[in-house]
Amino acid sequence: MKRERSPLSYEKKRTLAGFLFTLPWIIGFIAFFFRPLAELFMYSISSLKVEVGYLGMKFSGFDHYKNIFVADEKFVPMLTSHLTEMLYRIPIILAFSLFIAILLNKKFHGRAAVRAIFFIPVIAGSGGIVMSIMNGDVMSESIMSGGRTGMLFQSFSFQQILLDAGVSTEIIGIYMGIVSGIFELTWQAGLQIVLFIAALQNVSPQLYEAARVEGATAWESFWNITFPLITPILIVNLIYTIIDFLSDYSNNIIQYIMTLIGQFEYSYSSAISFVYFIIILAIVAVIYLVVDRLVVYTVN
Amino acid sequence: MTSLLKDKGPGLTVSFFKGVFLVCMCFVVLYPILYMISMALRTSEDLHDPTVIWIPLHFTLENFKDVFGLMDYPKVFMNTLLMSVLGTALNVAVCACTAYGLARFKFRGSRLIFFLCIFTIIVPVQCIATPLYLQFRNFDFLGLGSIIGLFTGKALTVNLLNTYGTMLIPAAFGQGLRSGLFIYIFQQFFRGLPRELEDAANVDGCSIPKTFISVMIPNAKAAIVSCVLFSFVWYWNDYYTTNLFFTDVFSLNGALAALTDTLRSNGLNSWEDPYLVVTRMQAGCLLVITPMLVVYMFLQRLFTESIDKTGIVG
Repeated sequence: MKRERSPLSYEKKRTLAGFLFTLPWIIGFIAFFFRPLAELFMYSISSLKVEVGYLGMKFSGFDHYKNIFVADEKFVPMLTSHLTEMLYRIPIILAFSLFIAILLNKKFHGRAAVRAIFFIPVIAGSGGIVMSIMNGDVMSESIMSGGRTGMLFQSFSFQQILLDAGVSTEIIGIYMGIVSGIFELTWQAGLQIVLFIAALQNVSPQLYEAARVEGATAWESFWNITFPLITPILIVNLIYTIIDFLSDYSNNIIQYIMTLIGQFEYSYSSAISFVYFIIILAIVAVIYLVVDRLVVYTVN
Repeated sequence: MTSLLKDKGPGLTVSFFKGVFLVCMCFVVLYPILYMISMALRTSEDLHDPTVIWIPLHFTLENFKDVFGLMDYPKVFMNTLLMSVLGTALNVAVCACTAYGLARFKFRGSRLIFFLCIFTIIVPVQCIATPLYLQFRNFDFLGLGSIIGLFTGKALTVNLLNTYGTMLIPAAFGQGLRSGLFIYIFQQFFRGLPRELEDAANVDGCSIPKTFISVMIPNAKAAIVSCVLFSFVWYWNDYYTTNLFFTDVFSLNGALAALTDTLRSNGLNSWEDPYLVVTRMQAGCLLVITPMLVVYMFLQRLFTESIDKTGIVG
């Protein structure tokens, strides 16, 4: 009824509705993101003079951008080493979080408690302060008490037990490496695990039922039902993991930018920030455009 | 442990190994927390005693009591709670709307908007902190104040620093903490819902906003629960932005960060007795983390419920 009275066609109305739904975001984007970012860009193409009560800006062209690649000896090597590290870290984090999510999605006694435990990294890990106290404290502890509680898992006493039991040092070394690696993983994969659980729960149980009736093995129904249906969240996790890895506050390049800001090198730090963010955006966009085509969106 | 993982599919041995694996993983995750609890509950005597490794000889709640007062816990807790609840509510609501607009309607520039969304998560707030700070000091109502200023000769601005506005206004316009990620999560969930749902609602004469509220939202419950969870945690843990916009200690994490100094000004010097500070710090950490675990315990029930209710059959 309403539709007949409306002067707009259904299609036009939908276009308008879509625009209206995103309008608050667009306003917010311009006010709280674009404006500050534009200012950052202004800094990057000028030479700033910061003195007490005075902020002088003089247009200096794209010199700062040129310097990043010509004069700066730190940035490019940092970037390449960081990107190589990313290539193997990301698949490990994703595979690990999917694996844990699948385990936690099954019904068993105490599941609620185990899930809560795996949520702890999200809580503690995102609070930089808690994390730094945890790390700092464990560090200072091992320095002051000669490694009594030690660096998390490189616990001295435990190594000693293994040594006494006649295990060779190489094996202990490998073992310790794996354990502390897993520790780091669980703390990096907290969010991904929760998202995967949410996605797994949206998969209708009837599909598995049907597959079982057809005689599909668990392995087959994973690859043919579960995996395609969680691809929408898999790509979110992929993109998020990449962004988190590249723009995490503790990472070298962000730290470098922060040091520059600390030294009042506003123009140069702004230029580097810009280049770095554009690189991340380009990586993410390419991955998104390639992977999003493979994602299965409809339940049919 | 075997009964813990009773599973019809794979055999008993597989279940057993799964159980062992999960228990080991839980230990890995819990290790620092257990360490924290063990530290927070001991007196400084126990810290000097090398025979005490995990279980303190002299249990004490002194650390908690002390930190509770030093952090001004009740006040800071209420600040953080109010900010987290309101911030999360606004953030999730606006992100869900934006995501719905992007996922279900085709209009010019919608793809560009999506990439800009992603861009907002890429740029850490630290990098645009200075312009943001200045903007909130002379807040001109998203430019309206300046436009008025063109006519009256004096721009209408308000100082929003030290108010909740600095945290809530961006959230109300989809620029809260990591809003871009939430928009993306919602978008993916909406895209996964069958188009027939909307078509059916439309045939029934449902308006577009009503379709969104009564058809799409109930079907995106898993997404809502996860976004509420993360958003709450990030607001709760936020330290940088609150510290930037508030002069006094405002949030729990701010109070925790200031704790070393607070302890020092109260006569506890980390050089004189490092361990005394350590136990207090760990107690402070626990006071900050625990409320969120409680929130998670409540919300996760909704998580499990959502499987049974979202019964879209393919």
